[in-house]
Amino acid sequence: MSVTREAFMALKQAIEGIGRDGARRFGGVERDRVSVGIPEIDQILGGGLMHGATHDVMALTPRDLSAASGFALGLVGLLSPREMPWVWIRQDAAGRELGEPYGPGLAGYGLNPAKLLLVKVPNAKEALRAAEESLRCQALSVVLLEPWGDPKQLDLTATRRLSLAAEESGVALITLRSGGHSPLGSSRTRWEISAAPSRSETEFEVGLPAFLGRLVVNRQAGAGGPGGEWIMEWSHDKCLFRQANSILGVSAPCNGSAPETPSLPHLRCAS
Amino acid sequence: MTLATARALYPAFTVAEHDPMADQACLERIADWCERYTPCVGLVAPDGLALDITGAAHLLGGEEKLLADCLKRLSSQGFKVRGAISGTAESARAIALFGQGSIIAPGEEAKAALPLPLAALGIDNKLIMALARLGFKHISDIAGQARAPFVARFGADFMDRLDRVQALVQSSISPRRSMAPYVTERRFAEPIGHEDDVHRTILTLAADLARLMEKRGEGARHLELGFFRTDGVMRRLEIETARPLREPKAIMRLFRERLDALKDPLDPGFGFDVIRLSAAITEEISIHEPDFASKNDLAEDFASLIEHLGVRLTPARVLQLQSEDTHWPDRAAPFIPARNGNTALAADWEVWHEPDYAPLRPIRLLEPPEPIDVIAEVPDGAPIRLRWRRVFHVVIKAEGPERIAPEWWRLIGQAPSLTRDYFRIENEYGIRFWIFREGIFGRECVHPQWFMHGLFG
Repeated sequence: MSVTREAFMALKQAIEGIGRDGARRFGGVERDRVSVGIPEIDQILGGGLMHGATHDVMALTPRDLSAASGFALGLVGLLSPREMPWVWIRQDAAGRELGEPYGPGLAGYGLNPAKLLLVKVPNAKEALRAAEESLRCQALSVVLLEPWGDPKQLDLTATRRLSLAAEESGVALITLRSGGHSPLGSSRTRWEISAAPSRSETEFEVGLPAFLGRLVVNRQAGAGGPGGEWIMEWSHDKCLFRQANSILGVSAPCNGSAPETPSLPHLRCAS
Repeated sequence: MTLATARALYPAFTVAEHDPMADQACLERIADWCERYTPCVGLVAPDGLALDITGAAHLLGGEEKLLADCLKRLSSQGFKVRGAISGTAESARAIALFGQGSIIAPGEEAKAALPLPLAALGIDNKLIMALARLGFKHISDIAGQARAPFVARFGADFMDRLDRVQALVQSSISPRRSMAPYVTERRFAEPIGHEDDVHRTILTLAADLARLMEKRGEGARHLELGFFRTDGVMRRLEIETARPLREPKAIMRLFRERLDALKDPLDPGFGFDVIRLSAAITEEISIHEPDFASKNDLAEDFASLIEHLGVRLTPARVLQLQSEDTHWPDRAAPFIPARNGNTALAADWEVWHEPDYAPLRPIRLLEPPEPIDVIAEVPDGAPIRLRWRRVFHVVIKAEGPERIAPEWWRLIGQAPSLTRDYFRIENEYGIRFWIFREGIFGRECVHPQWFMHGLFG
C-alpha cells in the first residue's frame, strides 16, 4: 500500500499542529481564558483557566466530596457567564450520597440556578453519553459531569473523546470525581481538593467556603509551572477564588485535632 | 347448567374463574392490533370492537377484503370472531351477532334489521321479556308501529336504539384514543424485521409527515410510532419534543435514540407488516429569518439538547429548577422537567444572594433529611458532637439557630409539622454541614430529633 505524498504532508501538518505541550492548536486560535482570581495560579496556568477544555476535580478522600463539589461549582462560576445555560450531569448514586443541587444554595454561591439544566443519569455509561451530547451543544458554557465511584467506562479513550468534543465546541467540561484513584486522563488541569476550615472571627460563625486545592496536572498551553498547593476561598460575591494561606494559622481553632496533611504525591505535569 | 351438572357429565373440566379485567385487557390488545385497519377503534363492552372504516377500506382492496382479512387474522390467533360492515356501529353489531350475511349495502340497513330478534338492540333481558309478553319478538314487529306509545312506555333510549340499529340516524364511534391530526403509514406485502429496513421506513414516514405538516405550517410536539407485528402484537413508541418539529432527519434521530434506549428492545417476531407514524399534538412553527439566526441557533441547539436527553433518559430526568416563593427549605426549589422557552429569571433567585455573608444555604440538599445523633450542651443549644452515617464529627464552629416555622396555612388538615432550628456547622476537617433540630424543646416536644439536611461547599 502506498501512501500518497498529499496524505503524508497532511499528516505531517497535523502532527506539527500538536504543540510541544500537548495543546492542539486550532488554526492558531488560542482559547479564551478566565482568571481564577489568584494571580499566582493564573500565571502557573499560563494566563488563566481555559474554556473548551476538560478540568478534573478529585476529592482527596471520600469525606472531601462536599468540598470538591464546592470547588467544582466555583470553576463553573468562573467559566460560566450568568446568562448562559450550564448542565450538571450527575449519577443517581451521587445524588443519594451527597444530595441534589439546591437552588437557593447555588444562588447564594454566585451561580445562576435559572440557567441550570440538571440531568440525572442512572449509570456511568449514560453519564458519558449525556456529557458528549451536551458538549456538542454550543449554547452551553459549562458541563459539570459527576460520575460516581471509579467507573471503568471513564477510561482514557472516553475522556479523550470528551476533551475533543469540548475543544471543538468551546464548552468547558468539569469532571467531579469521587473515585480515589486518578487514572491518566486527557484533562488540561486536575485538582485534588480537600476540605479546609473557613476563616471566621469566632466559633459562632462559619466563614466563606474554603478548600485546600492542589494542582496535580497542568497541561494548559503556556503553562508556567508544574503545579502547586493553595488554600483557596470562594468569594461568591465576586465569583472568584482568593488565596487564604496567610491567615490560615489564625483562623483554624482546631489545630490539635486537624489531620496531618498527606505529603504531596509525585507531581505529574507536562512542560 | 350448573358447574356440578357439567362436571357430572364431563369430569375432566378445567374450571377458571371469570376474570373481567383480563378480558378487558385482552380486548384492549385486540383493539390496538385493529388500529392497523383504521386509527378510530372503539370498544363495545364487554366483548366487541367497533371500527370506523370510513375512507379506509380501499386501502385493503375493498370492504369484503378488509372484513375477510380481519376475521381470518383474528381467528388464526385463536379467537372466535364474527364481523359485519354496516352504516352504523350498532347496526353492524346486530348483524354480526344475530343476522345473516356480513356486509350491508348503504340504504339496506333498515331492511336488514327487520328479521332480527329484539336482543339485537342491546337492551337488557327484562325489557326483552316485557316486550315478548306484549307480543313483540322481532324488530319488524316494532319498526312499523307508532313511536309515541313506545317512547311513553319504554323510554326514548329504546327508540333511539331502534333507529341506530336500523341506521336511520347517524351514530359515531367513540375512539379509545384521540385521533391524531397527521397520520402516515407503510404496509408491507412481505413483513420487514431488519433494523435497517425499520430505520429507513421511519425516515420515509417522517418525510411524508413533514410534507403534510408543512402545508399547514405546523410541527409536531408529540409523535407516536406504531409497529404492527404479523402475529398480532402491537407496540407503540411515543416521544415528546421540546419545540415543534418537522425536519424528517431530526424526527428519525429522536426515534433512533428512543429505540436504542429501550429496556426491552423492539422484537420484530416474524416481522412487521404495518408501521405507522402519527403526530398527535402539533403546533405552529414560527419561521425565523435564518440571517439573524446566531442567537436563535443557540436556542435551537439548546432545545434540541433537552429533547435528545429527554428522549433517551425520559423527561423526568432532564430538569430545571423553579423558584418558589416560600421560606420552607424543602419547597423552595423544586425541579421540573425542562422545557424550551421556560426561561426562569435570574432575578427570582437574587434574594438568596448575600454579598457580605458566607452562603446561608447549602449547595446540595439531602432529600429527605437524614436523622443524626447529636450531643448538645443544653437541649436547645448548639451541637458539640454529631454522628451522621456512622461517622463522628466534632463541631468546631456552629452558627445559628436560624428558626424556620412550618407553613401552617398549607398544612390545614394535615399532621402539623414542627418548627426547625437550623445551624450551619463546621467540623474538625473543615467540612460544612446544614443541620436542624426539629421541634422547640419544652414547647413542641421533649426530645427534639436532629437531622442532616445539606452540605456546603
